[in-house]
Amino acid sequence: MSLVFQIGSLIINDIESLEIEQSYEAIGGESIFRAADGTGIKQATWAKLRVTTSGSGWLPPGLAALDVSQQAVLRCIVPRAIPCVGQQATMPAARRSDAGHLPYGIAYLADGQAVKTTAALVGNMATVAAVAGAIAYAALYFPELTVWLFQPAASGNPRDASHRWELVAEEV
Amino acid sequence: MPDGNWQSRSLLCHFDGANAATAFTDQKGHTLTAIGGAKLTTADKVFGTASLELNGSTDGAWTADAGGEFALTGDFMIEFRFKLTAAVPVNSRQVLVAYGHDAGEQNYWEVAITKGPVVQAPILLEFVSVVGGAKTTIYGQNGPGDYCSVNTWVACCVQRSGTTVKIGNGGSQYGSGTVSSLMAVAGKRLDIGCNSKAGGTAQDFASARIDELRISDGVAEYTFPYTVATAAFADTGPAQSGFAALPIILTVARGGHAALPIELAVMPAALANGSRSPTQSFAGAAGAWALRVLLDGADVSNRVIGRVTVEAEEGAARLADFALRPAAGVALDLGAWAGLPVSIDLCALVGGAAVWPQRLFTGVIDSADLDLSSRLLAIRATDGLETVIAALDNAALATLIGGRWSDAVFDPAATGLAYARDRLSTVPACLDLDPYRQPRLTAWQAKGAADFTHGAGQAGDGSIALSPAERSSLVNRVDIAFNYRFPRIKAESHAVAYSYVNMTNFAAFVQADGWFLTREAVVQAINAAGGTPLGAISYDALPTTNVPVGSGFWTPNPAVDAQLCMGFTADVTFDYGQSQEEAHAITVQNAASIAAHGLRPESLSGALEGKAPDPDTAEIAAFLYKADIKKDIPPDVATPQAGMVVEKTLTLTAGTDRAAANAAMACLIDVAKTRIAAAHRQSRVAWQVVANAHLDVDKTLALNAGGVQARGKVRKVVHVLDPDSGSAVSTVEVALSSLLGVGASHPDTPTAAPAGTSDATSAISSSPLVVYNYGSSQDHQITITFPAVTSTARDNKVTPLASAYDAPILEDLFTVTP
Repeated sequence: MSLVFQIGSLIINDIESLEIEQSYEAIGGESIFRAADGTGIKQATWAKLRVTTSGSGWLPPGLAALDVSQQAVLRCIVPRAIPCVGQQATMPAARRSDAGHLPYGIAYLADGQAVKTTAALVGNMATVAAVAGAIAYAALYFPELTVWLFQPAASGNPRDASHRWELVAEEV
Repeated sequence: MPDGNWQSRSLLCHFDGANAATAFTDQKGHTLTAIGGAKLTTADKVFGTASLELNGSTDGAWTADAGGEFALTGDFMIEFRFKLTAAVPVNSRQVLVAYGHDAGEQNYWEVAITKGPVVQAPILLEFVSVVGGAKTTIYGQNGPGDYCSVNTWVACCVQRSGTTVKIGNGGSQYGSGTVSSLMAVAGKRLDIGCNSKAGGTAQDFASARIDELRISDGVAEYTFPYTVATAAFADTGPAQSGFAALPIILTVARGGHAALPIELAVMPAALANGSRSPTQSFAGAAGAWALRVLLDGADVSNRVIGRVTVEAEEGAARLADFALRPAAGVALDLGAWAGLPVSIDLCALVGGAAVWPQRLFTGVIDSADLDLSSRLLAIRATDGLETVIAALDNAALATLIGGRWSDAVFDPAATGLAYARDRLSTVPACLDLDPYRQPRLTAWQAKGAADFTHGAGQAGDGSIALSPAERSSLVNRVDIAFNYRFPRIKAESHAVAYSYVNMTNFAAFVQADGWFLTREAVVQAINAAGGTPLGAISYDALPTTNVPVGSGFWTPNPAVDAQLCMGFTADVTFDYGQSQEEAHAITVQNAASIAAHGLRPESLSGALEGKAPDPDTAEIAAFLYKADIKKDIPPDVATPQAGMVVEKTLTLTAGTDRAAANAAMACLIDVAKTRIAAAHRQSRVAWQVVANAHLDVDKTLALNAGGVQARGKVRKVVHVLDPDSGSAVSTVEVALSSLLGVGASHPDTPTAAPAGTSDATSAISSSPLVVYNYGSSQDHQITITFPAVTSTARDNKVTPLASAYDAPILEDLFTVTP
């Protein structure tokens, strides 16, 4: 089952996103106060995610129908990883739990290979299934965020029936 | 009963709950995760409703160490009840409680049941400490026998005091040894019932039930043997005791009810005393902070946009500036915003929540300007220093400020801030409001020990700014001109002795038809001169027997002779007043400053007129009394002395008398001293540090960075907090007074008014002249001419009086080594 990018009830179909790229950017207050002897004192306030999703396909997605004055649930399509302590890692609660987008594990082998494996969840605790020869594990998940949407950008080329779009969202 | 060592408990699990439950509760808040089929059983327990059931093959539980609470590097206690539920196999190990196990097994501690390689080997309880791979094991057993039996509940305790570890069973000591050090690695796993290998392949499963597990860090309570607990461990600490100050301002509308907003925040001691701020890194973690802004009692923090600035300056109102997004869909009445209460707290951001608030500002909105393009309200708030002070009466301000006051120096009608500032002019201190809007007086004198010291690791790079005082702003001498005018009454007494005939020339006088002087004429002559006989006049009586005169005799006539006299003696007094004017020239100075910087003078002046009943009335009253016409002793009478001028200061009204004049001069002297001290604390050093709510104008700060060593009272602090960038910075400015160097002392003449003039008594240098025309052809008039009262004795008398006082200067630490 292929991964699906969804904003609220709007699903971006594969033909609308033959190419798709999603970036996560941490936004928030953080600065380093430098003392006279060079000591850095880090200060931070809130931290949220900005998700920029861009894609292209043969058909335009229906992004114009999005109501950017309302908060929306953004189901991301690019997974994020959390290294395991042993075989376990604590997942953030804001993650996708729909079919095909459940958390899963990666086992890293000594020869550099990475093998996908399953992950069992109890609450937010993921336990990655053991893989023989693994030297480390990671748990991956697809973020599901409540966001404010910015007006999407779209363009197209009727000569080659290609359409490009971009949507920026920031975690509420 | 509360647990007096509750703060030292790292973990407390009663293992109570429903049968087969897989959720286990730690009273200290850790989240326990079951391993395998670990569950509660209500069928067998020591206390409460259940115990933890472990099957010896797959079961266990674990939780994560949060901040080293399971590392147990000092004294500790590991206590629990357990029951082995199966025979202990030879060559076996069953972990009961352990911390730090992972794949590498280099640093951990463990409490485990073991049995050696032969059937006869005893069941031992082991405490194992591994530090950097080096293992120390302490064994517990009952003499040479087993530590415990199977299927029997055991009260197990492993306690370390100093470096001695003791293993107990039922309160008895079953083993001891020395463990010099334990692993000091935080953030690992606490295992119960197995070695979970930090999520790897678990091993050493215990076949047992465990109940009432408690781990304590930093305490060793037991002295073996001891009596084991007969009830579950307490899971609360004692109630807080002691007294706390509660600053409260209640504003009640007419006929309304007073609301008492109270917030109690329990926070780490370092935050409470300011040695650490939420805005600074701690234990390797970034300083996560947040602001809490309350507007009219409602939390509007989520509508505050951008930077928040709070500025405090000694003697001035505290100000706050921030931008606020108005509530959506609500019509704005900008006029209603002014006066709304505002508070701003700096909080730590823990788990996404703003906790441990520290007050930065309490006040009211002064102005709210709407920017229509950004739809933001620019709020300016003030702590309303003037309003708060105005609500205090003069008596309360006098108590708060101390100092001196004189109606002759200050406006007697002054109240509120004007009165406060007048009093403050005599005190080297400043008056302002604390962050909770409570009035406070803070002396300019820096404390001997700084409240906070900032070195190169705290002061912002490139933020140190020096601003030495300018000579033009110095004042090191104040010349005070104070005139005090008041009336004095004088009694001038002349002794008059006159004789125009005696028994030697009596006959010749009679033969020459001389006229005898009448006594009445004497009195009239005295009165005509303006004098008053003091007491009775002594007359020289005529002879009472026949006196031969020529061929005949002069024969006395008693009826007539009684009205005559041959001479008289009298003390005659004149009472008059004179206005006195003391012209005080008071010099207050600091000689060391004059020597160093040259003379930098200022002037002050004052005057007071002593008010008394009309001096003319006083003169008349004295006259009538001395003339024996009025019997009432007037309040002001100069006691005459013959041949002397005696002075007496009239009784003056309260507020204009000598005490009032002295108070006025003392007031001016203190004003001068304060002026000199103020003029010498114009040097400034400013620097930036991470924002700290405890930095305020009542604090003494020390700086030792960038070649600058300074310690002085904070004059100004500006907190700038920017949630968008994460930057939270306080800029502090201290006032420094330095002339001779810290430790040098300056003379300080005690403030007491200089002495004024005193009533004097002086001798009269001239004598009255008596002329009696007694010849038969003369007019038979007697004239007594007294020495005239000179204009000098009667006109306003100005007496210049000079005095000098030393004024001290504060000496703050202030050295600069470029």
